[in-house]
Amino acid sequence: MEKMGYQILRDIKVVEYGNLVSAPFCGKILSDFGAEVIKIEEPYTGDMARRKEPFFRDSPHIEKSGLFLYLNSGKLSVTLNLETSTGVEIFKRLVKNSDILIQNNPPNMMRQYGIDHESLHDVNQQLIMTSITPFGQTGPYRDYKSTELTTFHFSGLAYVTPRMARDTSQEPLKVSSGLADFYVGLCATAGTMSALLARMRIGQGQQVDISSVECLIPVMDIPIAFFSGLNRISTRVSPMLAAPWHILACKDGYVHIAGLEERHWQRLIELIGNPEWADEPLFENATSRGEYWDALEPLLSAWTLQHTKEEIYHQAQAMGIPVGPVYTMKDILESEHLTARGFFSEIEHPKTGKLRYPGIPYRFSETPRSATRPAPLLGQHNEEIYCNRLGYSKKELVKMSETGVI
Amino acid sequence: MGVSDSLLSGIRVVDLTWVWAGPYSTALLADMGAEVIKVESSKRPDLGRHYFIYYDGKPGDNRAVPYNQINRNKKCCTIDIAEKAGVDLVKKLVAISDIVVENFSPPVTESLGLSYEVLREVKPDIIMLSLPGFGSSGPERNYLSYGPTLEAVSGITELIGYHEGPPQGLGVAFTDPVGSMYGVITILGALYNRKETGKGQHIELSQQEAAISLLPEAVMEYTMNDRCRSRMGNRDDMMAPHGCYRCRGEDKWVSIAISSDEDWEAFCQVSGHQEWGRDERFSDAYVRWQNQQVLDELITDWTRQHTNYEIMHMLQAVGIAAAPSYNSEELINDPHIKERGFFTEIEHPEVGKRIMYGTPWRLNATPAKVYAPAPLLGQHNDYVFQELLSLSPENIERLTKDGIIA
Repeated sequence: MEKMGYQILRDIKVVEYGNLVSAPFCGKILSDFGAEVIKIEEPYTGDMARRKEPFFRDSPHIEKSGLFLYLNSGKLSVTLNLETSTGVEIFKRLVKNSDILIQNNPPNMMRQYGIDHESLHDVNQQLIMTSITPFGQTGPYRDYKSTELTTFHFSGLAYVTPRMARDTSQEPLKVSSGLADFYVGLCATAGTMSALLARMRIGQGQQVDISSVECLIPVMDIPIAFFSGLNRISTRVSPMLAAPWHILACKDGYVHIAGLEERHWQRLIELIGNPEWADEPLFENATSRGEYWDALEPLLSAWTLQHTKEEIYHQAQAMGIPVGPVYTMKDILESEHLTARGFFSEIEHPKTGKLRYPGIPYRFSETPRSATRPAPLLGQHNEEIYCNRLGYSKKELVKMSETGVI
Repeated sequence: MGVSDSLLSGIRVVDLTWVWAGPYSTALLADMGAEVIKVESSKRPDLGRHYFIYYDGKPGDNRAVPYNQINRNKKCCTIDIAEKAGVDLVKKLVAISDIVVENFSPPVTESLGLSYEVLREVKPDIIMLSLPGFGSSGPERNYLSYGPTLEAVSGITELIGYHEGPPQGLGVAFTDPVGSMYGVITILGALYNRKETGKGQHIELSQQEAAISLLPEAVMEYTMNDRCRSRMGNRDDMMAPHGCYRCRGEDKWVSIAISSDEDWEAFCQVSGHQEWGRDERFSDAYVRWQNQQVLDELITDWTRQHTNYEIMHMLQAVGIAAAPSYNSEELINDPHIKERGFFTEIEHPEVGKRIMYGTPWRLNATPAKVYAPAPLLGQHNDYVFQELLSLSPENIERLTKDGIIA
């Protein structure tokens, strides 16, 4: 449903010069808020995300990566080679006319090209420059390399994962997708938005220094609390303090049952059909149920294994028991709830046709959402930006292409 | 120190939220200088005040560590919102505020009489954020949600586990801070819009959808190829070696990601295993990925002889992404984290000087700051009732006697 009104960032122009997830996710959210986002990509190869799976119908192609298509929907793509001095010149012209630059390149690379914050501040004092790096712009590790894996482990999140491991024989774990980098992109967006508000107040732009590990450390709130308050180190082997707060196998998958509160436990027992074992003194409160979990687990599993995750989910929730089925992506895409809310967006793209994408999780009552537009083809907007916007002729564009500038 | 020159100084937030997702979003607003007033009551304090981790193990309303971390920089007044007179007081406070944040379940917001429609009557340009677990529409809107159940229904749990093992779950609640961060982004967007148009608005945010929007690789794998992404431990879709390896010491680990042939050659050199570089099982990225099981075992034989720090610095010296899998103590004491001053110490009247983690973004002109401890229960009652709301002493006495402001 389209609402009357204006998009929040309708007058804001963004240049995005980055790869993979963090900077592009920040650009995507600004684009969803109505900003114009010009994405600068390497000639011929483009954003590295273009070469990452999943690919449409398993056919690897730079225009068919699901990761890229999601992260870059609604943006304009131009190709530019910053190894050339003409490329740097064009970059500065683009930045001169923009409000925000988002980038996630190594600090030494930006210095080498002469497009670090100091240099660009001279070009445009209004510019907000959001720089995302693993460890931040200062400090002894500023030039250290990191990927989502090493960032996740450094931040401490892996050391406590998986929760409730039996022992430490297996290694700390990350999530099997790029979750951490996406979260960093969210933090970068919040920082960028705050700089935009600040600009209204102080009349100039500034650098937004985003360190991926500093974004993730506050997610460690509880393990940090254990250390700060009790001098205790949390690991993935946590004592069973109470139960049930566990993942149990069911007929067609798994469910997480959160039944620590007495009222939740009583309702759960009722749902199971008031079995005799529920009266055993071993299971009389959440703490004892945690202590004797090895005895309780088979009893609860005997019930869960007779039911599907959807049966358990809806029956339990109808009785006010906090249960969550361990959803696969099939479950999520078939969820009646998410479909009823219109969460997924359908986007038509020239190389893949119409597909469902994860949608936008927030709804503003006054400002409308952006129309959903597909991700750009590599260099799709070269002419529009270089000729129409910056005034180069089509002939000059040909020369710049031949000489490897664009 | 004062916050009068901060980015959000002059912005007042009424915080009706509990536990983590809501309170972390308002903590970030407070870091940026907004005046955040938490509304609790002695009958109904924030549940987080009695989360079982207390400073030095001594329980008390003002001693829970996670509460103190998540509510730094805020003020607190006690109003019983179960009573109509209490709701009227909250409305008075809203009338002189800019932002309201709540995470009640949708029917509770309605029955309390604190819906956006009501609050907008009181303050026409109010900005209100509601962040229920499942959103405020759709068949599951009233379902109960706890950290791990939300993690399960958003598809994250399904993606955590060892290769071919069961789903296991993260050691921290990730869906909460994801909701918080989207909350901050949308509030800053609404503030920006209000400055331009003079209009406030309501923001509805589903925590389930927020988390799913961070998993596009898995969503698109399904919509593009009808396949559910599976658990793969610490492995990557294309990089190998890519894992977490045991080091010298008790439960010590290092994560390593090799992303190119150059990385691989440098790795063989530095580890003193040039023979791996000549081994045809590892001669290019494709066969390294195919043979990663064998490779991981060989690498572990090497990493076991060194500490996690030694390996990080050794590999980083040749430009390879490597980082220890830190526990909370190692993280807090890491020299880089210390030099950047990410953790600060804050003096609290009951628990003394304690560490606090910082804000995920650093702005050079308008920095966010952690400058004050979390409020004691009802600490700012005089300020709120006398100074802000100008209630007469008789009125305050009556409200106190009736248990409305206790």
